[in-house]
Amino acid sequence: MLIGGGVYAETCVTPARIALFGSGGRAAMVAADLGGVVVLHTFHPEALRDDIEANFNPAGIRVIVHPSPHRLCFEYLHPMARPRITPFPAGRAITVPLEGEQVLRFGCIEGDFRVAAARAVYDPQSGSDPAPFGANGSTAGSLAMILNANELRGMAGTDDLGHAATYVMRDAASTVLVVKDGPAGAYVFEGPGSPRYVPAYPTDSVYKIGSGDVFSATFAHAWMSHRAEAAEAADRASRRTAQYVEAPVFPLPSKLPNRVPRRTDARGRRVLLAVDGGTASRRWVREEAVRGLRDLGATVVPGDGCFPRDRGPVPAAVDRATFDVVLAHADDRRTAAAVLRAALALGKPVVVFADDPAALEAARKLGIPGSADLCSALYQTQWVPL
Amino acid sequence: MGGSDPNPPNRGPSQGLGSGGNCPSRIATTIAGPAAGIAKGEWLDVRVDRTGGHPRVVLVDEVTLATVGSLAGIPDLATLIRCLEQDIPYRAYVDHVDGGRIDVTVIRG
Repeated sequence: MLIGGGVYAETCVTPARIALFGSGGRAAMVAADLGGVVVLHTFHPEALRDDIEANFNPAGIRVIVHPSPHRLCFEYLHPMARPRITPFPAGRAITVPLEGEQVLRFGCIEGDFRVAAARAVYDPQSGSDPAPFGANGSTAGSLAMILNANELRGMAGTDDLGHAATYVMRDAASTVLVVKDGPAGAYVFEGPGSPRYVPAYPTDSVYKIGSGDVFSATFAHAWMSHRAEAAEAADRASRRTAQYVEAPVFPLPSKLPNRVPRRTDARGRRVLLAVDGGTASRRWVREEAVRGLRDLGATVVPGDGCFPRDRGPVPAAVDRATFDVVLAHADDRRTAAAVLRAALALGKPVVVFADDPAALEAARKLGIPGSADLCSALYQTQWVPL
Repeated sequence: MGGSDPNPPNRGPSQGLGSGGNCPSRIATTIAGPAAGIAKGEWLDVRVDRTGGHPRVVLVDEVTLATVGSLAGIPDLATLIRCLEQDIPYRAYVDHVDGGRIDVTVIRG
């Protein structure tokens, strides 16, 4: 398999991690673990070629480095944060031709890959405005595109996933379209008829950075190398991704564990935020939680507004019919138990985010699931049994 | 060897993401490996293994001499290999063990 994608330094403050993967590097590690010949095309400064080879060659990955001026670093405060990219990408993007039987192409910052393949998988990795596969002259006998729901909506200009999928598949001459919808799972569009639903497999912790790379690499290996049905390939990808987000270290266990999806409803839940906004740090937590939950497709209660009189963690008056689950923030061990009891009194499942181990322990004693990692706590709001 | 370190290293960012040159003083990373017998607070040997054709940095149990895992996917790995081959000493402190996942800090000296 040929893989075209970036190799980037990635740092995360909490949980603390430093890595050199990027989409291309991480996908190559996954594909190499799964077997077969893997050739990675990427961009990197010539002076750091030996660092790339030292990292990937021992895994059996042949790396072809196309020169670029800088090693880019993605800096995250937490796995659902918007990364800061340094140095700021600039300069002329270059296009590299990739010809092969099986090609996995990722969108890239430094340039792009013009693919000519019998079978190709394309993951644009754009966030919201993906370039169509053929826009740079790429062609494939069979093409599978992997988009997240927001990318699909941006590409098609409509919120209706079914209509958007039809439009994008016709426009891209795509055989398969996999639409990832975060904790709700994924949909596989292939030919006429309804899409196949593939569940997400819940995990206690979620390290989101790179999860899409693992999904795409696993799907590509199954669909291109093993000729698995697209829905079967996507299910393997979902299970492998669950392995990765739970323990993001390579090699991943070779055997896919027997996991059970916890929910079958398609769309995001309504989450009541029991997060005090009375200090700058607490306001920051709340705003990150709001943005993260919306990224997961959830509805946040209360909605937009500046909360001028909001000085407490739990809203004084709230209609229980307007939310499904409570996300509580307990950053103070002295008040954690009181905050959590107030959240429990709302009569709905509660998930807690707490930096302080003592606050998490207080939650555990009350039977409340939670995490010291905001990303994991946000995902738990979408997976906790209702 | 076993036992807790009274001053366990801070798992913050490592020194110098990228251009190399100087030997890194500290690299925090995670390895996959057989965690049986490995516990938080232990120290592992850091060595270059060339038996597989490509050099790789392996972490070795100081007592059993078994390879616990290898480093991959970290900046400055090539620099670390050069430093080890120049006999700059490194050891790895086990920060955390969770199933088959081991958090370590590789420390110069």
